[in-house]
Amino acid sequence: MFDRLCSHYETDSPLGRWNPAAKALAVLVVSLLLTAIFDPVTPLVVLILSILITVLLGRVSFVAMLAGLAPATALAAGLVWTNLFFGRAEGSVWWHWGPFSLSEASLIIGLSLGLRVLCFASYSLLFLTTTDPSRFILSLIQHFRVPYRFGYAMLAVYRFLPMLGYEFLLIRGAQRIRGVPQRRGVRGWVQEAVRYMIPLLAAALRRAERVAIAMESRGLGPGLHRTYYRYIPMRALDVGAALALIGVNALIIGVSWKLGVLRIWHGQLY
Amino acid sequence: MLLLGPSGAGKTTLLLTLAGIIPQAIYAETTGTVTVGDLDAQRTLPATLARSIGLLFQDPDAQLCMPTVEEEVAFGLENLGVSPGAMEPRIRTALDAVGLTSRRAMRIDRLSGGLRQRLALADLLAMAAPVLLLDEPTAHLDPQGTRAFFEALGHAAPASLLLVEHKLEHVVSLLTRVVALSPEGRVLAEGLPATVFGAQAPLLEATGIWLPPAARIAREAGLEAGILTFDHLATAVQRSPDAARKVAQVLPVPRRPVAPGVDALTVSALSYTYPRGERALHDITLHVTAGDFLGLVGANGSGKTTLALHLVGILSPPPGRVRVLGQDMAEIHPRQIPSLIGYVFQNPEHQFIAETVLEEVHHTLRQRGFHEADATTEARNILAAYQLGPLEDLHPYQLSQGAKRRLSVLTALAAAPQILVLDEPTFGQDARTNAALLKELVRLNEQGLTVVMITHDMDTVGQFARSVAIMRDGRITHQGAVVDLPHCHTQLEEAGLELPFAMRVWEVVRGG
Repeated sequence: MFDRLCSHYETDSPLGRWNPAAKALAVLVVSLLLTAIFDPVTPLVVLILSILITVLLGRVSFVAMLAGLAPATALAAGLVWTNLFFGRAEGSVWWHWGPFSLSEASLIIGLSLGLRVLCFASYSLLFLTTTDPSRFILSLIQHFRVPYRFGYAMLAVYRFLPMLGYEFLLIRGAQRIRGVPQRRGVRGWVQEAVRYMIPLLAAALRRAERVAIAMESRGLGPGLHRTYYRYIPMRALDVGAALALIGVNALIIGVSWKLGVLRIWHGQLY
Repeated sequence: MLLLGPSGAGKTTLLLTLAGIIPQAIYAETTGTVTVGDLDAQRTLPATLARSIGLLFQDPDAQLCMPTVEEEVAFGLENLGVSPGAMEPRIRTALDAVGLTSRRAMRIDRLSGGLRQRLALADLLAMAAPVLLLDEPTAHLDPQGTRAFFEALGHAAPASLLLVEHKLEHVVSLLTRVVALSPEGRVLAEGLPATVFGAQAPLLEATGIWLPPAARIAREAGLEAGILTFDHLATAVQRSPDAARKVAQVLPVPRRPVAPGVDALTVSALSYTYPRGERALHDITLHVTAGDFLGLVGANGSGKTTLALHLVGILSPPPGRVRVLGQDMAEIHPRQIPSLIGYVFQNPEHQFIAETVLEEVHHTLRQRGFHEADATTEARNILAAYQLGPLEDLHPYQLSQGAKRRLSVLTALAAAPQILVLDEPTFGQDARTNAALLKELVRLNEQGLTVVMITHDMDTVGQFARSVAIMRDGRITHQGAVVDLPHCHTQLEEAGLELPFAMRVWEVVRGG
């Protein structure tokens, strides 16, 4: 699924045309804002908005969006569940048995945590499903002064990810038919992982070296005057959109503060 | 200029040194000097040397770094600091020269290996370095991809060209000079192609370097020197009946097909779709008779490996689709598979699981039910028979390419299978190790082992296989005896393949 999301991106849309570096910065700031929020209502509104934006402005299908959120939903449900039973017994306690309690406070904290996880996931999807990775990296190099050698290394890594998956499949199959015993438990799992890692790493390192040599022999070197064939423009609209996205989320937080639903983090553990 | 030598002679090392990669990016102790134009290659940064010298590698996957065709060509120009406005005409000319103009907006991951190598060539042409170094540029390519690559190279006509290549047939006409290296990395022979492949041929053959196929046949037939290409040979044969008779005597005779008998492998109506939704196999039906030596041939990406992975249960076929010695693959326990059908991966490292060479074989023998001590003795015997005895304590990854291949074959054989499937076993090997491996496979085949070999090297198939199955776009378009290949021009052509060299010569001999 992750694989699919990263390899299919919809760039023919307002979100797709948005300068990827500006988009990334906006998403990052919004995520940081969210970390301080501790009530369930505010993140719920933020979540709904982010889904709407992705579907309407990003032309990502609603079904794909829900499918993408599925793993995060499972994690969120787990958080709600554990908080419900192991959280602090504060406010009105509905049920009590030994160390377990079911209280209003724990439900609220659980929901708030779970919804925030969904918000992060939703914003990550907003970015991943509408961004061409190479445009993103070029834009980082051109506007955020990311060193080009680092940028091109990232692009190369990105190209190799699918190959790694195929090799993993081959190696696992090879080891299975050679009759490598399947061990149980954590130790067995670790041993198995190490056995897959060695051939994968060996191949990846060799390939990385080859690519590095190839890039160098094509003239990519330290400290040179480099030009760019494709320029990813940073227009006023791109900056404006970033400010708008941050502003709208700040507005949601402001309104919920006015209405008295907002709770922010002030030192409690959860 | 062509650079020849057995594997390990230092051909790649020499090219990397010329480009300044050694000793600057890969550390090494060097003596002597290398001058490119008027630059000292050992002191000038490789990135600066790139203006004078272009380097093309053999692996089409590991030298392209941008997402689309035009950006890839632009990458080198960007590094040279060419202004964006001046790039366009250079990109257009370079793509024209290699015939990729119509694909300039395409994503690189959609290109076949052959097109990728032509793209890599376009990159170098756009950078307009006066010297090009090509390190086995067609090693990964199928016959049509190879031919198209050399056509593009001949068309582009770079100023100076230094080439390492094993597939000599297409190259010979481009050459003005040949240098052969000895296994120790010294210059063994040097001169005009006609001299090196003529008078100095015995020296090359003694070192395990192959001659161009036409030169080899002409030499064995005792024809006059100077025959280097198929066309030369064809002309000589047509001109004199005596030459035709001599050539006919030395041409290898294809192996006979195996007598009809029970199926060792039966594939019926097998289809497979990748998890991503691309169809890889369409309704494959294939019968391999016990004792056969089948060459499974097809262009890159035609589905050969995917089919083979189903034969050995790495990809699980649905019930009833693949039968091995009469048993349904879907019902065989994974543990029993190695004793029925062995698999040799294209990359030998994929199948290594142990810390030492000895343990690799020992593990398989233990799986077969040998006792601890017996397994050790037997493993040593097997290793000794394949010249791996002295290496038994090494980690399999430390072996040379040739030794890795031998080890991967014999770990599969140690399970005593009745069928052996090999995926491009000749890949990355030199002429001499290949010949040894193939002779061994033929010997085992004569003793009853059924062999299925994936390859796109038609000469290997023509010389060693008994039967052949041609794959194209996930379908088997032809299955038959190797001796009948001359009647399959259309299928070969469509599949991006060509008739084995010896058979093409046969056709001329018969026609004349």
